[in-house]
Amino acid sequence: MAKILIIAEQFKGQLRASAGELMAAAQQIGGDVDGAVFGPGAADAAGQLAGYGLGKVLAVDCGCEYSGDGFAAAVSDAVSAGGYEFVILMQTSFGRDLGARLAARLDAGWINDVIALEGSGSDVVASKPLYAGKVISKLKFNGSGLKVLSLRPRNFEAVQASGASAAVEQLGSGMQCKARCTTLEAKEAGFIDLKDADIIVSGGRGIGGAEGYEAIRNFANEIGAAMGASRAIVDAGWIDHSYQVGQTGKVVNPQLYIAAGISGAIQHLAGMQTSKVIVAINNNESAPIFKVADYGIVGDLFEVLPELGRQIKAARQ
Amino acid sequence: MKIVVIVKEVPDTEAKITINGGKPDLSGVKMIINPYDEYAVEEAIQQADKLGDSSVTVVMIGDDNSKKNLTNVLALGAEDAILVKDAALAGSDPLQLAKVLKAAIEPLGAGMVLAGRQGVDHDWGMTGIALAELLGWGHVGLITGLEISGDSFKATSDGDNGKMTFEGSLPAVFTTDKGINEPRYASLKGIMAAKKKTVAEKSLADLGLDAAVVGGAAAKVSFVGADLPPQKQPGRIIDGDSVQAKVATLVDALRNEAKVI
Repeated sequence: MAKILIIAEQFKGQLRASAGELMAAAQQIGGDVDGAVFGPGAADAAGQLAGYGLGKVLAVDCGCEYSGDGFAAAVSDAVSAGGYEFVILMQTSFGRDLGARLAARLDAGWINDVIALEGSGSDVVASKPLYAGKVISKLKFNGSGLKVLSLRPRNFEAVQASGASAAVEQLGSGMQCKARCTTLEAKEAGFIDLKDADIIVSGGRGIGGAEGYEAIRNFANEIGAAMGASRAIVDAGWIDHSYQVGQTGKVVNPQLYIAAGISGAIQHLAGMQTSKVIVAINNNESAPIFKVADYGIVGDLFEVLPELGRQIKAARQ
Repeated sequence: MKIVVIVKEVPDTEAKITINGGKPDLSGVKMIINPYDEYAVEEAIQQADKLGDSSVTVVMIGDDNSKKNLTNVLALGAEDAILVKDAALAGSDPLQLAKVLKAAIEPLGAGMVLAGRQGVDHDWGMTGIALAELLGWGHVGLITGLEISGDSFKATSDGDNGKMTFEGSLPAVFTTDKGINEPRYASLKGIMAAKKKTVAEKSLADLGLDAAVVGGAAAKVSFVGADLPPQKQPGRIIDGDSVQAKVATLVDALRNEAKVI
């Protein structure tokens, strides 16, 4: 049986629900599962992580919010000594960075952005999108050494915690970090991250200008959606790059994706085509976005979005 | 300060990719400099200008066809380039490539290395970070801002929980995110000057590396297949006499058919 370490995520002592997705991938591979959490608050989150029925949990706190070199160094001896064959993280800003650094430090194999696993143990085959989703590749690890995987969020059916407890081991104190996070400007309360969102509304050139994004913002606030954007309006300077969905932006996977005034360039489709349901609103009935949309409305987004916001809100009551 | 920037070639982001024999078929696809690397190049040139008495060396792993794109990068203002090319590199995984880059970069005595956050081909996002680990340097990934003062740095990055500021000492590796700068276009003068700049070609033997440690046979990860993603079938355009009526039909479908609201 493989020994597996899942590296879960927490913020201010609150464990992220993606721990259940990590656990699902670990169960697919099969083996004895331990966990780790990092950063200030790790000790509090470790108890919550133990609830997934783990052997033990490593609580790693180097005294800063993040350090790629410091976090990898703080945990690498425990990973080597623990005899793990797999380390699994989420493909987030945190997981993609720590996973790559840890894999390099321990001379391990690295498969990131995994959307599915087949088989079990050392022979597991991972599916990973290439060219921003234009191709789905299948990859395997060679040899018996350490294997590090990161999972694309919202692709594995989360396992529920059972409320068990486990021994917690503290690591990381006194670690010298070469590059360390010294300040964090936390996002405003109520902010919905694109990668966590059930509903996303994105705007494109059809919003007409920077001020047109207000229609997207109002709709998002009304129904509790995350906000996205096409590359065109990011490049035009109408909205910050952190909102961009697509090949040089974020890859998203919500239940419902609403594309408003977006024509549907191939780089944009690459970032959102795995959404469960896609709605397109565009005044150009030949826009390519309608080819991938489940439902389309040909019309003025400034009329359709406010009405849609009102009616979704009413339907929920 | 010597500033090194790593670039790679990727298929044009507008290109349609097909599958042939279980592998992506890139024949006839135009190769471009990885878009995220363009931000790294721009940042390297801007930092060199700000610091003064600095120069930028571009390092690429590629083949004979890569020289054109490499010359285009030199035209933007980099001083010189190293092109690592060796048939034995085919099928290498990102950690193997980072080992090759380490051998090429370590002798340069660089104060910092910049690279794009990921190649938009395989999206590993590993090479720059692995290079930092192999060199024993700190790194900051996905940077959106960078300030150098003496031998220390401040870098910003959009993290999962908000905007993070990182501090540390050089040398270090930074991987650039979109939004950090506006990459320039080459000037005519730059294009003319690039023709006289040096592109040093290096084989694995030149770098003192054993060909047995690179390439598919020694890779820790291998491709076993590739498919096109399932194509979404076009859905339906919702008709109605008014915006209210169209939206009512849509909301009903989202609620009762798709069950997503």
